[in-house]
Order: sequence, then structure tokens, then C-alpha cells
Amino acid sequence: MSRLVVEGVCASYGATKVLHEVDLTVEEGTTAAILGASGCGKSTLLRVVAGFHTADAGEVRIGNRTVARPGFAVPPERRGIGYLSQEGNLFPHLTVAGNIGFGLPRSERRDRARTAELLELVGLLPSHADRRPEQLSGGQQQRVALARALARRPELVLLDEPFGSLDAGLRTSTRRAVADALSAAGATVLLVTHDQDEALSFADQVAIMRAGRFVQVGPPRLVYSTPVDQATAGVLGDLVMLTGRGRGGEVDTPLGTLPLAGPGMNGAVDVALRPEQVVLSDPADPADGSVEAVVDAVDYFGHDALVRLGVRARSSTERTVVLARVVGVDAPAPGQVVALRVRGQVQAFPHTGATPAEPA
Amino acid sequence: MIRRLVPAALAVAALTAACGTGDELPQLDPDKLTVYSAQHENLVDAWVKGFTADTGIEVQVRQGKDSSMGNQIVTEGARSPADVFLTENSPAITVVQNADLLAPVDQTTLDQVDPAFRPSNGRWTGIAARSTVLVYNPSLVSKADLPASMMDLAEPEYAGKWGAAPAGADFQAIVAGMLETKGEPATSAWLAGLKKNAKVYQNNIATMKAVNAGEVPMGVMYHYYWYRDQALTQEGSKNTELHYFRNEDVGAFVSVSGGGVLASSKHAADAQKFLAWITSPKGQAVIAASTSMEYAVGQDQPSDAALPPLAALESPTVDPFALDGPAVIELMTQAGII
Amino acid sequence: MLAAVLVTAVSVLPILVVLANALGQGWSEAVADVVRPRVGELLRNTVSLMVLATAACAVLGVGCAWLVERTGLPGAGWWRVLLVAPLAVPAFVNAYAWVSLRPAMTGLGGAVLITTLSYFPLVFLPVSAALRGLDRSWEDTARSLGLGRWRTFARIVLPQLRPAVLGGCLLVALHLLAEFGVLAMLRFPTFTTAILDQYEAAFDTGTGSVLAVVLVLLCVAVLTVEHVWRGRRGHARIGAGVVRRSEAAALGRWLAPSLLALAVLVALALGVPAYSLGHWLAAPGATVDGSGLASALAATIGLALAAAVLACVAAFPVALLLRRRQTLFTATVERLCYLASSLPGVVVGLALVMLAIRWATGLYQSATLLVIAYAILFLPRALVAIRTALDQAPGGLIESARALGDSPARAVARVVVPLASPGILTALALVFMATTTELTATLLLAPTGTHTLATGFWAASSSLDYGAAAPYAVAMVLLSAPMTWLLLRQRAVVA
Repeated sequence: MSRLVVEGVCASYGATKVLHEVDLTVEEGTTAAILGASGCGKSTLLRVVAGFHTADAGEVRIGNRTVARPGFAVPPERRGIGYLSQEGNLFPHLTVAGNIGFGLPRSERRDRARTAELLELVGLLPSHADRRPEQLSGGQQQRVALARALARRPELVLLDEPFGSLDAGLRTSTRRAVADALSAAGATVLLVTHDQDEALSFADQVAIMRAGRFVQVGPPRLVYSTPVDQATAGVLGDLVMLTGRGRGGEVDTPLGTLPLAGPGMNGAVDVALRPEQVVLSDPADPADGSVEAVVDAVDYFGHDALVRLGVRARSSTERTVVLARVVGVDAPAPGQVVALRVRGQVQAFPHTGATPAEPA
Repeated sequence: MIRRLVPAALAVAALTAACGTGDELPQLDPDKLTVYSAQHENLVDAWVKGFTADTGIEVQVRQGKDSSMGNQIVTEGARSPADVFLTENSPAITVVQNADLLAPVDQTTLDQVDPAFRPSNGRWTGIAARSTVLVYNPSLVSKADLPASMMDLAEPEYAGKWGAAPAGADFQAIVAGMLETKGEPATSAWLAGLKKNAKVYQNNIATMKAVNAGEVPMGVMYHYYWYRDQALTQEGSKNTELHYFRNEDVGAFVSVSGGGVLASSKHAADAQKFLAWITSPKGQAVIAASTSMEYAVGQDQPSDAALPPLAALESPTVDPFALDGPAVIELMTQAGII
Repeated sequence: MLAAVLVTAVSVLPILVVLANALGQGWSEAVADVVRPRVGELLRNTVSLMVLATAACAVLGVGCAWLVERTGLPGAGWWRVLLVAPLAVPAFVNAYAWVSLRPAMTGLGGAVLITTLSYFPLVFLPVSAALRGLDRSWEDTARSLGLGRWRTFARIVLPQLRPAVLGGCLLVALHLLAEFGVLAMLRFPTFTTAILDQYEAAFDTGTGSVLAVVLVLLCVAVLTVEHVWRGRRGHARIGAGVVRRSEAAALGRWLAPSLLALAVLVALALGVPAYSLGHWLAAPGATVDGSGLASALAATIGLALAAAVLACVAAFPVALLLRRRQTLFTATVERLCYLASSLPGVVVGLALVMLAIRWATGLYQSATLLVIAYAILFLPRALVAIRTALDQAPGGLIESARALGDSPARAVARVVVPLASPGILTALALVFMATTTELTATLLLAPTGTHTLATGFWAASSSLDYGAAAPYAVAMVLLSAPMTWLLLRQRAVVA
């Protein structure tokens, strides 16, 4: 497996520019996920790396080979990549074994042991080898497609929203199987997805793309907890938005004075925090720094619940709506009065509209 | 690359197949005498058999229709593989003649044919003849009500009462005869009448069968279809009778079938022999002996016994060379018939 | 891509040739040729035939499709076969069948009857396919909003059928414009018969070409009307979900009349030709010219094979081009092929004759030219079938193959060819069968002395020699019978 370097890549479809000076490095044996909405250009980037689309500018290097630069591009079949698309694209006229052996030299194609080994790698039984693609479920088809891609021991594996067309139930199990297979193979992986759960759980590195540019690149935890702007924060998960006044490293909010992550701010700010940071407790025995809140509604998901609470600030008659995520068994009932407090640091962004805050 | 090569290879294969198919289709043997014939197949086959039996010269025949075959020869020009051209009517061979593609016919051959049935210039000769007739259904129209002249058929009282096949070369020859004897205004007027009055059929046989079936009381066609049918099953004519206009009327027009030798022929001598043979008494006797029921044009040659003698038909005198086929077509186009 | 452009250019060439020849005699001459009472008569005949027969086919096609697909009609599978089978009988054989038994069947009435019986399956096929694929969910929604059954049919189902009905009617109209055999036999003059008359009589005149140009303009008009009526509305639908099939409507007391009506239709469309052919084959004195029939059969099969291969090979690059993303260029190519698909056999034949005479005398009167004419005429059919075949191998598969190390050519060979071959064979078969019954262009282009089954049949039937014509007719019907099975399997419209 090799390292992937994308440097300054620009690409367009006809007259429309789709990628603007994109840079990304994926270290050997790690997984990077490109997360973004439909049409942001993430699939285009993947296709540029794969060789299906020619970039206008920039370089792509796989390992120590330059596979694309202005005026030169190695065709896809010689880049040593493995490619998995959303539709799987198993060849309908071949069996599973035939599909897996497709990219291998003829002498190796008949090697049943290798086929069985690859099937096991993706969590399928050797008996599947003689089935036809239409006899498999969507998840199984994607696993076979992965086995087919891995058969050639590629330097880089490219996944283009591979779980998008699977039913929800299949999606999780298939995702897990694929992740296990890839890590067992020690693969360098570039994944493209619009599903934040997928990006966060799958990858060592998350790159958020918007309108053809990367707005933030980093490990999942960093990106999740310290998003670079409000839009990015929204992409990655639910948000609780509050208004507040910044005072250096702290911010005053209806939920109390909270510590700020990142550079301090003064003045009117929008405060963002995650529902997981809101902790509920018994109003009769509140924890330090709690405020009183009333449960408006509970969205119960079984394993967890999203609780909508209303907080009335002591100083005003305004009502702040807060979301809290609790474990399912601890879900309160609507109308219940609880005490809530925020733990951990919060993000602050300059307030849109009124007086901009000066950085401290 | 293969994506381009495979279709190209298949295309080559297809065209080869097509050309190969061409080899399966009757191809002309350059060593044989080639006859382009628009004349009826059974008559020409009888002539060829007799000729080959007598002379040993092999003949191959390409069958076609008057106008298109004549035009084909003109188009092929000097490259035409045809050695001999035989027609049903004279306008078609006149077209070839006017393109200067015919060689003069041997005088000895010409002398075998009645002068009335060959053109004055000697570029081609008559080989057979046929007479215009009016075929009618006695149950629908009585003999007394038949028109005195073919020109009368354009009158309003004959609306819907007769049929013809104006798109065919046969009828166009008849109209050419009319053009030559009566001139253009009269012919145009008559064609306008035809347009109003006549039912159009695909060919002479269809016309005759329609009269037979009672679809239409009268029809204009050539005589031999009737005699032929009468000699066989009579299926197409048992309810019909023939009426000859006589009196040198346009309706008594006798059309001459022509035969000529192509100037570009590679077998000129054999071609001349062929023409000589079919106009000889032996060849003309074939006409009488075969079921073609056409008229023989050789000097003093009898035709089939069932036919009324040519001389008795009182046909109008027309130089077969003077018949202008293209002018007739133009007139018919203007009249809205074709 | 260059190949595709070349093929398209050749397909459209006949129009240009005919136009050039028509104008070659001078503009005023050409205008004089058009502005004749005869042309008015031909126009009247052609248009009235088209309007009446197309309307009749639409009514019959939709009605039968509805009965077969949407009601509890017993034996629907059999009816489907019987209602498509008339396509295996060439229209001119159908005319022969009727006229030989009832010579009075001439003129507009006879023409409308016979062409309707021959061509209504062209509407039946796409409409029944569309009805089969209709999702019940729209109708359920309409019913839930208060529309009764008939109003639901009129306001929900019929509009969804519009493309299928219009597509089928377009095919019928184009067939009618190109129809020769039927109308010549029924003595109903239209442009096609007039063009052939002109050719027979005057060969290379401008008049024939002028008539051909008018005919092409009529075809373009028909294409335009269909395009405008079809409109651009699509269907909005959230999510793929599952397409629910509709429940069959019960016929109740309409069952017997419906069955009777269908039986009468099948009897007229299939029974009459069958009876007539049998009658003439068995007629006393019917001589079967064995060697003539055999050589015609051999010639037909040889020509049809060559034409099928050429048409499919020519269609391949165009199909590949049209698979790409839509640009102005590909859209133009597609439109031109569509236009070429409307060309009647007589126009193609005439154009090629003139072309050969003027510029390619080596090809004149050759089998090669005839095969080229067939390929031009039936290229659209091949194109539709090959596009469908290539759809079996979508672009994603080729990308996957390339990612697995195959060069583009190897990817095509290892993935596209195996998947597309059944469809390609279907394309070959369809062109083959269409060629075996082609009459008009063959009459114009066949080398003199060569007969195909169609021209052999024509020579006999135009002399009203019905007994001699029958064996040729039977041979043609047998050769094109498999088309019924293929069309039913395809479940798609074939241009």
C-alpha cells in the first residue's frame, strides 16, 4: 500500500469549475474520508485520483509515482488502484469467483484458494464463489466488489459512496465488514461520502468539502468538536445554538458561563455545542452550574433519546431551546422539570448581524 | 482500438458477403451473347432455344421492362454488357436509338421484315407486333353501344365505363401513336378525358380481368392477352369479347416490338445473327407456334391461326421510329395521370 | 466518433440527393411539378389515409392493450401473441389476401381497412408495455382524492400513456407514408405509387424527385407533430420504492362482447390472410415455380444477411456515441438519425439510383447498392436494438473493468460484448426479417433479372396471378414469423 498525495488539483466539467486547488495527503495504511453534500465535488476528486477524469491543474502522486500532472495522466488501468462504486458494478455475466478473478492474470484466475481467502477477508463464505451476482444481497455484492478490488493488491483503494444504495440495516454490517477487511489488508483508503456517521466512524482523517474546496481537514474528534465554522459544524451532527457574550476565554450564555474552545472572543457571539455535552440531573439535587429546564419533547430512538428542553433565563422572559442527548434508559418524560448543565468546551462564532466581536 | 477495428472488420466481411451474394445472383458471362429483353419471357426463351439449337451460340437473357431497360442501356452507355436489345414497344428502343447506341442492322435481316414494321433508318427492326383492342363485357355493354373511335372514350358519356393501365409502356405506346397521328392538342384533351373517365389498373392483365369480373364494362389493351387467356384456362376472359376499331382509328394502332444490336457489342456478328434468326421465317414461325399470340412481322409470315390477319385490322400508318415516348410521359404528367 | 458521423451522413444522404435532383431541373420547373392538380389529389389521398388509418390504429391499439393488460380477460397471454402476430404478415400480402377474395375492395375504404389491420400492433405493443409498467400509486392517489374509475382512467392513466400512443401512431403514420404495395394493389394513388410510376416511365426525371421531396416534407411534418404533442412533461416521484402493479378490472357483462370483438379483430387480421393463402395454394391449376421460388429465396436470404450485418455494424459506432453525455453534437446526430428513420423505401431507392447513375456507376444495378439501401432503411431499427443491447453494459462496468487493469479495448471485449450479444443478435434478426419483406426499394434497385421473394410475389400478383403469388407470400410470412416472438420478448418499441 502506498501514500496518496493530491496537490493543487483543479478540475472542471465543461465550463464549470468543480475543484479549486485541492490538497490532501493520505498516509500509508490510513483511511481518509471526504465528507460533503451532493454536488460539492467530492466524487470528482475521487475520479481524478482514479484516472477517470482529467484534472486541469495540480498533481496526484501514488507512492513515489506521479500519476497525474498537467499534460500527463496515467490511464486508470495502470494506476494500481482498487475502485468501489455506489452500484457495486459486479459483472452480471460472471460468477462471484469470475468477478473476483477478473483483474488477475489468467494463471491466477483459477486459484480457488486465493478466491476463498479473499471471500473470507470480506466476511463471505467460500460457497459464495459459484453464485451469480443477482443471487446476492446488496451488501454481499459490495463485499464481493471489495474482494475483487483487493485481489490485485492495489496500492490505493477508492470508495465512492459504496454504502449509499444499501438498506439501513445492511449498511452498518457491510460497513463494518468492509472496514475490517481494509484494515486487515493494511490498505490506504480514500472514501467519499455524504453521511457523517460513515465519515466519522470509518476514517482516520476527515476532510470536509464545500463547493470544491476543503474547509477543514483533521482527525474525526477534532473536526467534530472544533469545527471551523457553523456550516461545518452542522454537517457533522446536531447542534445546540445559543446567543451569548464573549469575555476572552469564556462566554456568558443562558446556560451559564461556559469555557471557550479555540481563540477567545469578545462581544456578541453565536455559541455552538453538541447535545452530548448537555447533562441532565435531578432538579432536587442539581449539579454545580445547572439551570432549570422543562422537557418539551422527547425523540426516543431506543438506544438513545434526543430531548428538547426549554430554558427560561432568570433575567429575561426569553426561552432558549436546548437539545440534549441522553442514553435511552434515562430519557425523561415531556413536561418534566430537570436540571441541565453543559460540560466541556463550546465553540463560538462571530454573531451574524449585530456588532462583530473582536478577537481577544 | 479494437472497438474501431471490430466494426471495420465486420463491415468488410459484410460487403464481401454482399458482393459474394452478387455472385449467387445471375451474373453475366462475358463470353455468351447477352440479350436485354423487355419482350415476354416465354417468347424470348423459345427464340433463344431455337437459335442456340441452330447455331450453337450460347445466349443469356436479362429480363426487364421497356422503359427502365431502355433507360438502363442509355445509362450504361458504351459500357453496357448488352449485345441485343429486344422491346415490347418501339418508343423504348427509339430512346436507345436517339442516344446513338445502336449499330445498323444487316440489310439481309431488314429485308426479311415487312417494311411497315421497321423504321426507315434501318437502325433497328421490328420483331413482332401487337394490336390495340377494346375488350368489353357483353353483359355490361352491348356491341351497339361500343364507341366508334377510341377518341370517343374521352367523352362524358363514357365516364367510369372503361379501364386502362396508363402507367405502363404498352399504353404509352398507344398514346404515342395518337400523338403522332392526331397531334398534341387532341392528345392532351383525350388524356384529360382519360383522367376523368377511366379506371386505372396496374397492367393489361389486370385490366382484362377487371372487365371479365364485371368491375368495368370496357378496357383498352393489347390483343394477345385475350387470345392467350382464351387458349389456356379462360379464367381471365371468358366473360369478355374483343372489339377492333379498324378504319385507321387510333384505337387500331399496331405497336411494333423492336430488336436492335448495340454498337458497343463485343459479339456484333453473333448479335446480328440473332436478329437475323428471329426475323427469319423460322424465327417468326416460333411466334405463331408459341403461346405468345403476338403478330409475326416477317415478310408473308403467318401468325397464329386464331388471330385476325394484320392486314385486316386497318391500322393507322405510323413510322415506328417517330413515336416519342418522353413527350407522352410529359403529357401524362401534365394531365395528372402519373 | 468519425464512424458515427459517416454513418449518419450516409443515412441522411438520400434526402440531399433527392432534393438536389428535384432542384436540378430548375426552381420554376420544380414548383410547376408541385403545383399540379395531380399533386393535390395525391396529397388529399395520402393525408386522408394517414389520418383515418392512424386514428383507427390508435383506437384499436389502446383498446386491445387495455383489455389485455388491465382487465380480467381470460387467455391474455394468447391474445397478446395473436394481437402482435399481424406484424409478421407484410401489409401487401394482407392486401393481396383481401383483394384476391374480394376484388371490389379498392379505394380509400379498402386502404384504411387493410392498413389498419396490418399496423394496429404498432400501437398495441408500446401501449401494452406502458400499461404493464404503470405504477398503481398515482391511480390510488387519484381515487383517494375522489375521482371515480373512468375519470381516473381519463385523467391519470391516459396522459401517462401519451408517449406510448404517440410513438406507436408515429410509426403507423410513417409506415403509411412509405406504403406502396397495398396502395398499388388497391389502386389508391399516393405519393409512393406516383413516384414509382414516374420512375418506371421516365426514369431519371425531376418530377419523381420533386414528389419524393414532398413526401420527405410530409414525413418531417409528421415527426414534428409527434414531437410537439409529446411535450416535455416528466413524472415527479420521491424515492425509488417499489412499482405496484394495478389490479385487474373485472369485465362482468362486458366479457362476452370483449372476447367477441377481439376474436373478430384477430379473424380479420390473421384469419383472412391465412384463409386466402391457403385457398390460393390449394387452388387447382396453381403451379409452384419451384426453381424461381428457390432462387428468389436464396437471393432474399443472402441479401437479408448482408443487410443485417451491415446495418448492425453501422449502428454500433452511433450507439456508442449516443451513450456519452448529451452535447449539442450528440443531440444533432440523434435527431438526424431520427429523421433518417422516417425515410420511405421509395425515397432511399430513388436517391441511390440517381447517385449510382451520376457518380458511382460501378455500383449501379449491383447487389451491393441494394444492400446499402437496406442498411440505410433499417439502420434505425438496428440502432434502437443495439442501444438497448449496450444498456446491458452500463459505463460503470467499463470503469470497474479499467480499475481492475483492463485497457478500454479489453474492457469492451470482456465486459460489453458478452453482455450485449443477445441484444445484438436480436438487432441482426430484426433487420433480417425487415429486409425479407421489403418491396419498394427492391423494385427500384434490384439488378435486372434478380428476384427476391417480395419482387417475385409482386410480379405474380400484379398480373393478378394469385396462385403463383401465394407460395412467395407464404415464404415471406414464414421468414418473418419469428419477429412476433422477438417483439414480445423485447417488450419495447422497435422503430
